Amino acid sequence: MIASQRKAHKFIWLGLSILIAALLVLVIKDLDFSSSTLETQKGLPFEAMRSENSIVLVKLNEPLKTPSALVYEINANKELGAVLGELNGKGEYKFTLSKNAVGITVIDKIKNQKIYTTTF
Amino acid sequence: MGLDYKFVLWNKHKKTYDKFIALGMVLYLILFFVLTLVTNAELTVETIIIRAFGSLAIIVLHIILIIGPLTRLNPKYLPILYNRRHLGVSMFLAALVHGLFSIINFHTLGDKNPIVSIFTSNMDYGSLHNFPFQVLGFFALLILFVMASTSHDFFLKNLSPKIWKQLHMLVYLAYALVILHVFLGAFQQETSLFTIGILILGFLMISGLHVIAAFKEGKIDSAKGELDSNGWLKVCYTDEIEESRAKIFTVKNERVAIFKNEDKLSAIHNVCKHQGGPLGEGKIVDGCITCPWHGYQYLPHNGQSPPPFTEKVNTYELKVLEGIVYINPDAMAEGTEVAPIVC
Repeated sequence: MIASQRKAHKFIWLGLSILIAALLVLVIKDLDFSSSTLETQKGLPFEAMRSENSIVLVKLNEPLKTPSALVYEINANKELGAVLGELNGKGEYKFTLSKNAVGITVIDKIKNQKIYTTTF
Repeated sequence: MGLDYKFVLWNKHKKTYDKFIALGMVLYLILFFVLTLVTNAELTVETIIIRAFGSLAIIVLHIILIIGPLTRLNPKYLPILYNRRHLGVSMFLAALVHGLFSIINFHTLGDKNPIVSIFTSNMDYGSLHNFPFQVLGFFALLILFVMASTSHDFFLKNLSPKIWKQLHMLVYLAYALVILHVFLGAFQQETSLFTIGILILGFLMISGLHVIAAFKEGKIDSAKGELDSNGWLKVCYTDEIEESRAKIFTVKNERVAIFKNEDKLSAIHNVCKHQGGPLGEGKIVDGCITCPWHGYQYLPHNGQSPPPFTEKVNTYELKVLEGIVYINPDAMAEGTEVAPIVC
């Protein structure tokens, strides 16, 4: 490397080391290492887990018999909030909750029937 | 060194290097798939592909970034630098698979253009835990694309080595974007002490090695030499330089290599015109100074590549008084003939 490139490398890496380290500290402080498992409802193939950083993980252990399954947020007034997404089959689903969410509910919109509800 | 441009100028060493790259990458992917299927069989194939290629790209990026400072700290690592370009292109291909599958999986099922969707599907730009991290990955991939597509001697020659090097230093920005992409994305959704620990260790290793190497180079640069009454710099004794080898000195902030060839001394600028390799760490082969990185050659007495090649480096005047070597700190123009000095 020529002298100017050596100098540039030095300042780039000093800057990056400080900047990335500071950002990582902020990000790691925001991570949640203790996700809490919510109650599973007996007889239903659901498991839901929420972490403090507003992510809810819904695990569907077997396919549902209902024709549709929309996941709704339950807001602070215990009312139905925004639609988070749809469950299509067995697997893991992740949804981002709004700040005032207190739970989720899964509804079959065709039969207009609640399939699963959990609050945090 | 070539007179015309070929897509890849293969040789035996490059083939060996590339076999190691390909084998390593394939083995990692197989291991990742098998372990994931054993431990988390419910994941979809798309998710496994996204994770496998994403983590592979990050690992290779770490290897690429530690090669530079490692070789500056210890020349025995030079062989792993030899074909770093192919490692870079391989890393880009892994990142591309990760990026394409992510875009297809998450952004092609809506009514928006998938690229627009990356920027608008999550507008929580003020949040740390819900930051639209895919945007960071997208920009990192763009940088890697530019770098991979210019990783060829054609661009090196036509952009000039200085511009090319500046362009390729964007990899540091790409690295910062990748780190944040992972910490603001994957780790926010699936927090694992193990993977976070590995990535932090990687960051500490890369930044630590770069900073240590930078300070080591800075120390060499700031070393003050003794000047004689004519302003020539005293550098060493003649017997300190081995036959067909060189010693490197800092002259006016630039590195100069003083070579001994058949008991005669010649000095040239230490930086190879090809990719900035340290000429002074090479040796004289068939009368030519040979760069240890890729074998580019220069004649000791004029700093020119032997015909028909056209590369040229600065030369320096030397004198020997009572067994002590002195160098004129003012560089001669590139390719200027300077008669070698008898020891």
